[in-house]
Amino acid sequence: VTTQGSKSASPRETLEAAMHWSERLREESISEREMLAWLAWYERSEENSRVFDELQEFWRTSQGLSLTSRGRQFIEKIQAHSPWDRWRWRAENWLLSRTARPTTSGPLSSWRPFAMASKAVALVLVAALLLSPYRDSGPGRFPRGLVREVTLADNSRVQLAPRTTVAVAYAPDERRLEMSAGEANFVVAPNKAKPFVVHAGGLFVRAVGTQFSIHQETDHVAVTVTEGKVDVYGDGRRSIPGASPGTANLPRTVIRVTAGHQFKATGDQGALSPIDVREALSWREGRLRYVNEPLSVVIADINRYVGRPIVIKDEKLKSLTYTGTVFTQLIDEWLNTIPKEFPLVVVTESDQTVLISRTADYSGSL
Amino acid sequence: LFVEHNRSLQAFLRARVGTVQDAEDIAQEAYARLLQLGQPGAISYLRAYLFKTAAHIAIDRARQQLSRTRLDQSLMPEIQVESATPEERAHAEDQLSLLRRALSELPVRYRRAFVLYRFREWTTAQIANDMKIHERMARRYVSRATQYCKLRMGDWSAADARREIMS
Repeated sequence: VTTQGSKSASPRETLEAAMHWSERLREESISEREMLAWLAWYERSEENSRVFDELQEFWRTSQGLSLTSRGRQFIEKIQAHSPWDRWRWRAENWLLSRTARPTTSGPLSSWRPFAMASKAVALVLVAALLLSPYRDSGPGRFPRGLVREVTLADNSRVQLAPRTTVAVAYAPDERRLEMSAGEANFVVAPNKAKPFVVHAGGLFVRAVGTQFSIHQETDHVAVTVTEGKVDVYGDGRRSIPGASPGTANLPRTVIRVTAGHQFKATGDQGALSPIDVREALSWREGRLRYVNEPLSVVIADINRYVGRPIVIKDEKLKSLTYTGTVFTQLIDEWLNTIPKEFPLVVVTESDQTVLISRTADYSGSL
Repeated sequence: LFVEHNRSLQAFLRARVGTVQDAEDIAQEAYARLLQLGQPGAISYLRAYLFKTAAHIAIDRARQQLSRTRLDQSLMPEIQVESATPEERAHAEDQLSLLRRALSELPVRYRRAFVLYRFREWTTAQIANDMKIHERMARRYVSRATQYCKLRMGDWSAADARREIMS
């Protein structure tokens, strides 16, 4: 407890005391002693009461900032710039200090270490992303802040759902990213000279300055564009109708996806449709929205959020389609509801949760 | 007792629950329960009882609300509660743009400390650890940023507000 002299407290001390108390009071379990101590402080002087009341008022007003999407962006921007920024700077400094030493051989080679450093930094970033999955939390007990945001060297930003990794390989003429299964949203810093190309699930998604998300699970890839436009085409191993396959370089024909649209590839089928962009990005706020999505895709998604994997035991169940919302913080509750919607039972084992077809249980005896 | 402590009780509840309306409701209920006691004991005991009761009611309500919103959300996920009148909303919007401006005027470390504290619910110890500074310093950043924003939202000029928080 900070100093709370009744008369001698400076305005700042009073404010700091008020902040301390309001922090304590927000705790769900507060001891009686502490409560009475607060009461004594609050009633000690009119100044204390006034400052405390004003602080509560301000606290409530400022809450509004996190309720509007504009305010959230503002907050995210402030929060995002670190710690990755500082981390990146530190890594860059370190690498430069190591590689810059033998650069006495003229201007040409002095750029090499820098390029190497950038590449190494990208790798370091990837390593950091790979190292940070949350492991030991069971379903529903997931920590907050599931979505991580990373600022890349060119100031493009990537928001990643849990257990989604993006490997960054920036070259002089293109910004190339390799994405694993999962979900990510890309806010691309404009740079016409260096297209931003994401390789995910056999598709290339190529943008210049724009915002888009990719959701990839098994052979489903969905590309949702929030701002600007992107070009989508297969990587050769995978082909989609309407686009010729290519490398990271743009092929002759592509699928062009504009803002407010989603391109969805399943197997070798592709479909372009308008979409409510806010809905498509709700995973960042912990809501996974599905419309006629195969259960296998839904479960694969959910498994990125839970410690104990959910396994579908019957092939038949995988193709059932699900429409609805899954709250990533309430997955246990969701598991309780699905037996009512689908012919299945949920069996919790020590290391996994199994979904078994209800009819399969009886098929042996029939 | 009621008159004497009503303000304190309101303050206590406002710090713990979301809205002024809720705080008033809970205070009412706490008083009602106190009256049911019948045998008033020592004043100091009663006071503690009143606050404790209020805290319990607040917690119960929060739990009920949580299960209710869960239900609501699963039924209609996209409906946002907008009970404010247009004027109130416009006022709130003004206040928020003042807040945004005030935050933008602050040095980065103040701004960041404030945002982490207020919107990410970090403790000052966590902020200190993240920023590699002493906790006392983190606390100071947060309190100065808070004070600055309050002053700027209360019609102080940027220069005056800056002088005030650095004094």
